[in-house]
Amino acid sequence: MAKKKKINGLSMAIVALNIVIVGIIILLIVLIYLHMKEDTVNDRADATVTTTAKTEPSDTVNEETQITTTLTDITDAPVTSPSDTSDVVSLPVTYNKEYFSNDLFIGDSISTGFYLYQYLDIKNVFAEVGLNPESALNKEIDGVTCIEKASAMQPRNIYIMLGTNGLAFLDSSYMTSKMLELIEALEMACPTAKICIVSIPPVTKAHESEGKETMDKVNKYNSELKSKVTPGGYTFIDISSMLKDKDGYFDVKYAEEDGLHFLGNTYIAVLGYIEKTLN
Amino acid sequence: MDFKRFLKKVALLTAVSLMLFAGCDSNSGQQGTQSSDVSSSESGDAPQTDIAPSDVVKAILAQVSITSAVEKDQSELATYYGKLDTSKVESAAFCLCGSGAYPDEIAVIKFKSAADAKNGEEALKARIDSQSKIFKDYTPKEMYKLENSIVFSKGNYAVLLAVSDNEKAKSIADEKLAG
Repeated sequence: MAKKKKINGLSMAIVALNIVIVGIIILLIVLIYLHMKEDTVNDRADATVTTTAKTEPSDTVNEETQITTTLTDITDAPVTSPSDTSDVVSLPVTYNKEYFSNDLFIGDSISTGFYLYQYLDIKNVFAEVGLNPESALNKEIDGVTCIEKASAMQPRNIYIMLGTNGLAFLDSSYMTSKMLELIEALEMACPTAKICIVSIPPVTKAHESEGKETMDKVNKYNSELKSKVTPGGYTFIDISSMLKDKDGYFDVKYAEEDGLHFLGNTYIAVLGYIEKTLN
Repeated sequence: MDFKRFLKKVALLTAVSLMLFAGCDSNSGQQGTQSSDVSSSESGDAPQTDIAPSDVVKAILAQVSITSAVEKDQSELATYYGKLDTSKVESAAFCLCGSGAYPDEIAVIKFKSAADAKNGEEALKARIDSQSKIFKDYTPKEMYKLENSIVFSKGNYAVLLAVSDNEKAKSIADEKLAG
């Protein structure tokens, strides 16, 4: 009898212990579930922020505002300038992508940045690394020349920014003559298009010290180009002056590490300036 | 004496219960792996991992930088990788230098099958060839990135690496794609 009682007591203890263990397990499961749920919410919030930041440049809704935001982000990047910013003319910080939707940009690697950064659609750009006034007329990109692309597109405005790649080995007069050939060919292919010649940008002091492209060459070519194209009624857009620092070099605030190409915010400034000039 | 026995029994039962619990847990883990294995063998060539391509690109960029990096997604794939059959692509992320100054590039593409990923390698190699022709005379100093570039596939993923330290980038990609 006493033994039976003992066994009953033991069984009760086992049951109680198992209930406690099951209780602890349930509690642990609930805690783990709550913790995982919290993490998922946080991950979702992070993902939303990332996606928004990534899609901003290509989003067409309220484009101007979003592009301004992008510029602010880029401007906040740790880029140092030796020049006093109070001397620097403030550059445009917005542009309207829609304004350029029927236009065509012809250029070299610098112009590839227009679509690489998604500031313009690739259909609005004919550009390749190494292109210069001599090679531009016959160079094919994706099987078509710039003349063929322009002819098929019949753009409202055509912008040509070429010459940087020839500075090191081509004479500026020769490059200017090749630019005039290109302009004539484009004019024949697109008689209603407004043809705008964009000056080549400056180079940084550090880049000049490498000895290939110098500010003397940049200024000489731009000056010669302007004097040859403006009498023909073509629009010359001087972006070189606006990108210079107080010493006359490419302001490092707007220059890529190589001292020749553009940072992202520079494209916005250039597009904003072109839009403002033509309006 | 009885109390001591009782305590021993409680300890024994607790240990047995915990072991049973642990056993159940480990069984459930094994079941998960098995079902995953089954699905792998069913599909024949399922990925070793299910990581988003953008996460792999981000992991590489955290240790191997690209100047003026611009991250792009599947929507622009055809523009940059013309020979790629985009209908076979499930998701993709790639990154290149936005200013056009440097040939740096990272691409991680998740295909619908491992066979598609293997075929996709050709399109990525074609991209390297095309970029090499463009940059050869333009920036000879930067050509090492393309000359030492790495294109490989792992499971359903195909990867292109043309950066300053391709070996390091590959080890990061390998690690991420291993799951």
